[in-house]
Amino acid sequence: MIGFQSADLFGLLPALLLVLTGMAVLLLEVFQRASFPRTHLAYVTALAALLAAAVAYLIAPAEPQTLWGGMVRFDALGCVITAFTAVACAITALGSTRYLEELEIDRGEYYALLLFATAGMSVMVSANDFVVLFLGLEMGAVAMYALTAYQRRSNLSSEAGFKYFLLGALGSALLVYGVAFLTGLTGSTGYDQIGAALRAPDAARHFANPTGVVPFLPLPLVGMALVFVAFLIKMAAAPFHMWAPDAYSGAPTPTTGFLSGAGKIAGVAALFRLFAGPFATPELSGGLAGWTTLAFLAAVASIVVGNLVALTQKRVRRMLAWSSVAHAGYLLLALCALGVKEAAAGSIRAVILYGAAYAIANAGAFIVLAAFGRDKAEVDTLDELSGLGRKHPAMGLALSLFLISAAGLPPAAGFVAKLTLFSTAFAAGEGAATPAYCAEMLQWLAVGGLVLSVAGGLAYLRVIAHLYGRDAHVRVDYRPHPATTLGVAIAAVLTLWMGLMPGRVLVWGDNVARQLLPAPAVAAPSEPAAPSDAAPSEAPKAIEVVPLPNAELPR
Amino acid sequence: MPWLTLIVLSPLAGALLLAFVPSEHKEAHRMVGGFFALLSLLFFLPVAAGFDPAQAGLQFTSAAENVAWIPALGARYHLGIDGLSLWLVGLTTVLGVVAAMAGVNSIQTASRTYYAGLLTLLTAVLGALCSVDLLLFALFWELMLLPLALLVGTWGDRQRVAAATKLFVVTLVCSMPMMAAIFYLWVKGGSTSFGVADIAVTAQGLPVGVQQALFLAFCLAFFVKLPIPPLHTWLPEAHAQTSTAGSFVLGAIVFQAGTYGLIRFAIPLFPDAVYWAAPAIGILSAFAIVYGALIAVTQRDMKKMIAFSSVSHLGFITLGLFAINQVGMTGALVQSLAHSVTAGALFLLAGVLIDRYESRSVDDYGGLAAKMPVFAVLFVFLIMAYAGVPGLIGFVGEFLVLAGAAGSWAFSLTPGNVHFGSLPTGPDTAALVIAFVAGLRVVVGAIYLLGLTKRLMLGSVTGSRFSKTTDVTWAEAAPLLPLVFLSLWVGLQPGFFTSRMDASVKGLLSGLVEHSTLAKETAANMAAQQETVANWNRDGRSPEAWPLQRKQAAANGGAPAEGHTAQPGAAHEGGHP
Repeated sequence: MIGFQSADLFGLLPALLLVLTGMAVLLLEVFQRASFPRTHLAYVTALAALLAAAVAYLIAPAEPQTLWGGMVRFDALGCVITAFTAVACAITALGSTRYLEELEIDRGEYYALLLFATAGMSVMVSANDFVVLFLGLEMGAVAMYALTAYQRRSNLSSEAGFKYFLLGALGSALLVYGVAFLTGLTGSTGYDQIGAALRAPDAARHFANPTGVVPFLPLPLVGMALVFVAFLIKMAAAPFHMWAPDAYSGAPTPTTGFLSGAGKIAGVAALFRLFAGPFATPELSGGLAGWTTLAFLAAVASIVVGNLVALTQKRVRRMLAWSSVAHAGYLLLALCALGVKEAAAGSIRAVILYGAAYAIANAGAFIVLAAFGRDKAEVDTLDELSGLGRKHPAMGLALSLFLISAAGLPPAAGFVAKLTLFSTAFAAGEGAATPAYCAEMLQWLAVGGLVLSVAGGLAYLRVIAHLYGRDAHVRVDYRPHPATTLGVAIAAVLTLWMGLMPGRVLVWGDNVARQLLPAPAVAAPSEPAAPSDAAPSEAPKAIEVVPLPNAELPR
Repeated sequence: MPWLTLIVLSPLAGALLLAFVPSEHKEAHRMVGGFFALLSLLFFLPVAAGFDPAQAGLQFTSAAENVAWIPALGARYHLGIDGLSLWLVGLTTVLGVVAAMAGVNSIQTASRTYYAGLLTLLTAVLGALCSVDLLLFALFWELMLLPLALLVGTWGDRQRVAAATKLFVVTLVCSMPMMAAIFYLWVKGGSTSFGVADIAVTAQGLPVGVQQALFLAFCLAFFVKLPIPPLHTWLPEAHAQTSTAGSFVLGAIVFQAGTYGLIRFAIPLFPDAVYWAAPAIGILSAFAIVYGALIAVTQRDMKKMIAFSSVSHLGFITLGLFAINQVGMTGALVQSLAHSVTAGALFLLAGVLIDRYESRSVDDYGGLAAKMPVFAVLFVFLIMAYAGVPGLIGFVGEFLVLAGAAGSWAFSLTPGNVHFGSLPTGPDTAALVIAFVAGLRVVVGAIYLLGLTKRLMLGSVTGSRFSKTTDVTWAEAAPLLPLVFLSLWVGLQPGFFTSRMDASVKGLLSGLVEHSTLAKETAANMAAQQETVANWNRDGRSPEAWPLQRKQAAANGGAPAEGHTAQPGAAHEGGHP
């Protein structure tokens, strides 16, 4: 069973590429003189990340496959998310060169850690087993802790790293705790096995209330909720967002963009795989403690708190951190729509575009911020940014573009992304959607989210107003570097491309939805001859192809 | 040739090119800005020449201009032009060139920002004016915001950033309900198309209450752009604080997108809601017209005076549009052109003075006619055009709108059962009152416009600051000349312009009547009343001839009704011996 084939390695090719490059970078670092700038390592990192993205795009399978004895799923979701996180990683690496030199922390480990983090995210998204999920999550998280605390001499950075580490460790613990429940009940850590056990004819016994005491939580629900909360912590969604503002404003500026953007979409993608797979049972998704309701509550909290607090912030990075909480809320809104059968496909499509747009634009925004500085410090307050747009038109324009994207205005990617997201949530309530109460809440949330996104938008626009409207009265150094320019250019082009021609990304999203949702296969069995012409071609390729008996565990 | 794409995108190409011109080459910025604005105008010429006035539908949609843009969402890159948008597009291209010329004088610092902003704004406005797909329109609509805020907030007085921020926030917030309405309609239609025709089908299938709410959401976005009180508060501040060129862009170019949005989207999409809201909007417009004019009378600040006067002038656009008849709508479109030309010119003229003497207060000036004769001639001419003196552009728009409003039945406060005053086919009382109130502007307008002329041009030369006065330079006069020319052309030959609008306006109106139950009911009602009058005139006002009586008679015995249906021919001959 455990013996692996070359196909198993092939499926993890992007992650392997990232990890191997990371190791190579570490080795190269050993043979460098300390005074020698590490620019070339940035280029190597970026090249490897872009290559990994290209590989992920090229090898994306037409139909989902399970590798490593069912522990890894190799499908469009993993490939698309890997591709976008890798691009964000490349942008971040390119934007870090001068920044690290200025702060005298220019070491190769930085780039290796970036690569490891990306590889971890890739593994996490591809996981089809809680053990692999945990492995990927920790691989990403440990690298991110180190990156956050990378400015060793800065108290803020150490504080940020420590806070992030503590909360991250708590999240990991909760994840493992939740998995313990699920594995205890079903006898397996594999997604497919857990899903099969929860859907089995005798699954009702897991949910039965033997004692009859009324406030009763069935154990599968407890396990699911713990796993969910663990991811909410990792994604910095309210009410588990408290670490984010401090961590984001203390971490090295370029890293923050990667951490808040790519980290979030990897987390939400892993959640999508879980909730469209093993947790897609009516007992777990519906009801007051079901994940649809939990996602709804977290989404409401995140959108409200994130947008409103972002409005009050005077420091740009804290503002971006708070509004990243709001963005986590929007992603959760899509997750909530996944619980409505009719909107599920749309929600996956929306989350792919939204996540891609956010990760790229966020990475871009932070590397632009990193290109400015005062002495050894970063540029942070609105006053320091005043007039920069006129002094440095290209950088100002790019930063404006990224902020506009985050605010959800055309012509940047965020506009179409928000459109698809909100309209999906809204469409969920149209017609005879199931479950109905959930569809209705979603509609209200879509409307409320739209209103609040205007408030959040104003926080971004205030930065733009300062970029152009005020005169510079603080001396701010611009640290130009070809690598930074290249990174900003990549981010800007991608943001514009996804804003004006989002068709391609949406098609990827549709692919992901088709591969992720078992809907046609699960609905089919009672009727062997499917009603439409399209269904027969899809029925044999159903995801339910892994009928591993529970006893035959991979270990 | 994809002419419309060329018109829309050529300014943007210029803006991109400007990114590669170093910031200190002021002359190069002007050349690039002017050239690409002119290019857009040149591309408009074949469109104007090839436009078919008899066709009501969209024209100039080439194969490349109706293609899938985001197939997954059903959005299309669909541009088109018809009688409603033809002159709005044409004038915008002209005004783009004028704004580029105005920048030579007015913008001395950061000229690259000005021209890049102006060109981007032109693309956004032209794109919005040509879009037939709602998502594409939304894209261009929101694209307008940032360059506009940049143009207003970068040059001018100390409070300019606050004014630009206010403009930005107010217009953004007010456009959000429209965005939500667009998405709502899209979802309701099955998330497959943003095309106006498809959205219209969806919209007209919705309950009337929902239609009304959606209509108001659209109106909010467009009214704030025009602007109509109480959404006008950002306008005077923005005009007062920004530079001459910024005022020109704001006052002459941007609001046209609001006119277009109303006539292309808000009105055709929700016919029932339009008839429902028309009386209220008519009253609001009349209020705006008088209110703006009265506030203008009290202003001592030249630019604020013109700004409030704009509020008054722009009320005519909504008044004409919501009169919902051929004359009124045509008038509203002409008024949109007229306001662009004349208000834009007044802002430039005020700019000439403000740039020289650095005062916006009319009290600081006097006796300029003697010192600056050429300027005085231009000023008086354009003031006359603005005030609506016959033979000039302002007259055409105001006259048509007032005529349309007075003859409109849409303003009736008892819709569906129109009481035509004391005479059966005469104008509606409410429409008459609204038109009369709006007509008061002619008087109030004369007070402050002539007052302004007197204050600036006549009287004694006060103070020493006028001792070294020179007349307008060529650079200052050049942007005014196209405007003077247009004032005369439209004023003397309005038929050339209106004849190209007629078919499209007629098509729009027939679509409205066709899809509105209220309009159908009213039209039937009016037909019955007209028959009454015809019968009345023919039969010597005998009550048997009235339709109601005929109906009753038919119910009683049927004899008189049959007699009447057989009668007309004979009676007609008998009536005219």
